[in-house]
Amino acid sequence: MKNKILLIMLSVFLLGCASPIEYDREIFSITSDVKLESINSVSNVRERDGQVLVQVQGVSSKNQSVYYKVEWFDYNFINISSDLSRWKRANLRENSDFLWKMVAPSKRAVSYKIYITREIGDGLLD
Amino acid sequence: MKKYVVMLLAMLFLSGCVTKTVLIDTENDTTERVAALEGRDFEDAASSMIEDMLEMGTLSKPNGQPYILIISRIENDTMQRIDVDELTKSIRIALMKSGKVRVTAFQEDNMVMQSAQLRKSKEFNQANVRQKNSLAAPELSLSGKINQREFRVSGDKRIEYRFSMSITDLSNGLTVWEGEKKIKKIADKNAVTW
Repeated sequence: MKNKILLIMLSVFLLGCASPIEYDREIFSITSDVKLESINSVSNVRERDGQVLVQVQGVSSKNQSVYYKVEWFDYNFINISSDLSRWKRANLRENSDFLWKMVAPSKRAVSYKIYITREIGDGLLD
Repeated sequence: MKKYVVMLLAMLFLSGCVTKTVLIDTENDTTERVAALEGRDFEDAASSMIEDMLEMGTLSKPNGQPYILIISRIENDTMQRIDVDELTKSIRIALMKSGKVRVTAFQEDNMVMQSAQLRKSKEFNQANVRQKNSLAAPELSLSGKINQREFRVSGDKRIEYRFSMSITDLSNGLTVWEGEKKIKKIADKNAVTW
């Protein structure tokens, strides 16, 4: 009996130690309530017009609805406000791949940061 | 004394009627949606189309210069009275910010044509007056349509809105971009959408 209790305690302890996923924190800002197996992004500059295109791909750990948005920055890391930097909602399936495509609002945009969260509030300002 | 009590009661009653108005942060507005088309639907449609236009790359002129765009007819084929500018304004702002397009306003701003009359006036410094042959002719035209369809599904009302837009090359009449965004809603069967 004592052994069983020890075993249960050990497995609970080990579950708590499940390591969080590794991702580039300069590119992603992900809240802890978003459960992912993996996430990464690939970007390229379109030769024809210098437009930056980004593709985000990942795998979800569970069925969940998340919000994501991308903020774009110029050479001086000044944020370029744009209608394209809006929260979008995505339904992710457990152990399934997801793929999001993003496009820079202008040629001035050279870097980006992607925000992912489960909750963005209702927008009501007190 | 009785008068004071009545006044106090009236004040208490009236203060209970004060309605609370709060501002909404448009960046993360997730408040309840309505069955009719609303601002967020236009923002969603515009954002989706802008992304598609920029991703396709067809609005990038080979020499890097911006195209001259004119906003043509946007047909409202819904049961609602819509200011289609809500849709086109977001698109033209984003396209202008992208540096790929400049919008000519000669059709919508009467002053563009009327300003030519100043050429005859001795009251105006002619250096600032628009000369002949100086207006930029449009190269591309943005046109579109907003549709609405309604169905009854399991006692509820299903409403489908379709925003479709296209950009035409005015030099040859060919469509260089076409985009569509569907917004579907399920509402109570008595919901008003007109």
